[in-house]
Amino acid sequence: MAGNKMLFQTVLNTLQRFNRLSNIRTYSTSKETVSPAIAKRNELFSEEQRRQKAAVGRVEKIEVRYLGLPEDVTLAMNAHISTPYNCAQHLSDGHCKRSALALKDGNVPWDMHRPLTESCTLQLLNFTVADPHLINKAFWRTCSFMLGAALENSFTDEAHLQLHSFPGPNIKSGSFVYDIVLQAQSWQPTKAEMRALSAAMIRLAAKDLKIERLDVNNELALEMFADSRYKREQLPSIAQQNQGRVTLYRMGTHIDISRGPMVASSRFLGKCTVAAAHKIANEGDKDALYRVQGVGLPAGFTLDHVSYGTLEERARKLNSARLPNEPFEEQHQQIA
Amino acid sequence: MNQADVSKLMSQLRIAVKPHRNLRNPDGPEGRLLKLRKTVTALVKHERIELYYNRADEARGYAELLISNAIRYGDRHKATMELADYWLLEKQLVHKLFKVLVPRLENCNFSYTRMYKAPRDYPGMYYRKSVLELRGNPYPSLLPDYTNNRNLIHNVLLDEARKDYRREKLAELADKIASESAVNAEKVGSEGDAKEAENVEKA
Amino acid sequence: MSRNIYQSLNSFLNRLERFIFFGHRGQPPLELALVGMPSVGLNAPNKSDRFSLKNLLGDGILWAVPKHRRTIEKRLNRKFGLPGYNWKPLVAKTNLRSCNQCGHDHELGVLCPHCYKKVEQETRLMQEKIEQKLGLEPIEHEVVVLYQGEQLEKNENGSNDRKVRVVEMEKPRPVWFSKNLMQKTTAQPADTKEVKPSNLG
Repeated sequence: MAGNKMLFQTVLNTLQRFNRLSNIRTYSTSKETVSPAIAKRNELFSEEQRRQKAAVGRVEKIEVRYLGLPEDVTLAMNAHISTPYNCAQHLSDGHCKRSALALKDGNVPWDMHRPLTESCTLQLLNFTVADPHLINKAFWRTCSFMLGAALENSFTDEAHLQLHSFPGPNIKSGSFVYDIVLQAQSWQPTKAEMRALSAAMIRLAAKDLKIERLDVNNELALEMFADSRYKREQLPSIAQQNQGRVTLYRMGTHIDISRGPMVASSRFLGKCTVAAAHKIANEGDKDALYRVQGVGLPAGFTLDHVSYGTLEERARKLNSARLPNEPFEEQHQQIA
Repeated sequence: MNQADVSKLMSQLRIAVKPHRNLRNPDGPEGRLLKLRKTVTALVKHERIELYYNRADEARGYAELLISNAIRYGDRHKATMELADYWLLEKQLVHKLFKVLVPRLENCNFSYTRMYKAPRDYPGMYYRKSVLELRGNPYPSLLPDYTNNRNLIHNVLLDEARKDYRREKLAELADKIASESAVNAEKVGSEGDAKEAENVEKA
Repeated sequence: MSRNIYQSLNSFLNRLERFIFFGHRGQPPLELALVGMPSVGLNAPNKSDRFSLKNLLGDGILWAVPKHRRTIEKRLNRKFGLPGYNWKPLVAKTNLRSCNQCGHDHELGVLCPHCYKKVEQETRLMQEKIEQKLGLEPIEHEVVVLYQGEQLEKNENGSNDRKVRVVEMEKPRPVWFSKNLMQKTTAQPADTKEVKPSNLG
């Protein structure tokens, strides 16, 4: 009995110390309410989504030729309304659950929840297809995106976390990356903190959150990210590359800028570890830029702990992707 | 002799002989055994057979035992030969056991046979069906093979990790060679000066 | 005998009686309207004054009837069975998955019927060929199955004297039956545990 009490006390102390040091939330102090800035961002997102749906007007029919198992079929869908997910719903429950990405006309990767615009052929991809190159890339990008959401959920307000951006997905580098700015110039993450971040990722995956895509114009994007200094700085150059449009993704309440495509849901993330956080540079006299890295596998992929340990070990090394404070080499690499 | 070698002294069956199953037969226990002998014979002959689950499950143990003993004792062992003579009803298969199956399976670290649950028609009969096969048979595989796709995400990650590791090792090796040669150069440095001086004189 | 005479006399009297009472009203006899029914019910009101078991039963037989009420629990158990023991209504199967190769549904842990059928047919053809070729000879070599247009692979020395039984199938290799999967590796198993960097660059 006394032993239990002592153990409990130790755990409590550790947790308190841990909270004080790093400002990372643990289970008990998990954020329930969203900040007003994020609530407003979500509201704008939903409103724009509604507006775009209403702007479709007269519903036009398109023919979608589905190629794949169990047989090729032609589906009559609605232009600008029906998504590949809706096509999968016509096929079977298994197709809906398993398909993570669609392939339009045989070469264009297309989000599962992005409306189709014209008659096309459609293939539904999962992680075990013969050539999983495109879907792997989309998965890696989604991992970075989810890491951003996990970081946002995990840090307390005292940490003054600001999401910067993430570089394009490169699986061969061995880790997915998110660059953040923290108001601490010498944060040395402990093992427990990294584990808490990994748990936040797993919790996101367990929630099975739908990942939505929306193209908005630059002005609206600026309004949405009014509170985020770094995102606001990036927006003009991104919009300039893309005829004044910016592609946004939303998962739960987390909204981020990304070129896409991403997988259909957060459910597709299976095993995941946030491996390391490296300090890159000081920002001003208080803040510093950190690069958070992790490694993950799609749900349903099993790997023994020795092999996975090697992957984790490798993910701890600093990822050599372009750093956010480096000058632009290629304009396209800024945001994945 | 290390531990791995010691374990080889003992006959260790991967698939044990199963407890007696109720394979009912009008001829009594002899008929039941004849049924099992027929099954083992057919397995060695055809290398892949489809049959009811109970019969396959029990016959599998005897087939494993037979192959295991054949590998352990070879064809000069009387008891093993008698065992083969008992289980194989067609005598040309005794040759196959010692000359084909033993070389094929002697380095096999896992079971010599595989058993799958076979599909049955719905609702069909109550009894479950199964497919029993010897490893290394020439027939098409019953399971899809995912191991060959190098592009699956974990394979890509592991490949890159291996390359990274090798690169590191090579760099270490190069460093080591460089440091060794540097030490050698220092050692021979003093002797070398004298030799060089001689060479210059000769030239 | 005398009983028969009594019965026929009795029925005659009955008919006569009925004819006297109803016949003159010009209605058809009721038996024609209700063929096969015991006439007891119709006659009963008229003969209510004297009780007779025979009148009650007529030509029918009195079957056994329930003596006691069956409780609702028993009735429900009879109707639906017991959950977990003998549940009679249909239950949804959750152990079904669709095959990644062909898209057909199959039970979890059981081979996919569609893919298995394909493999089974090919296996059967191969087994027939092998058995034909074999005859009654003692089997001393591995069997190698060659499809149309395939040649026996040379062994490590480059010579062609591998001791195998060659069985030829008179048809091209099916596309789904990859030859690559059946190949054995020639690489020797490692005898050291040290990993050396090799094949670099």
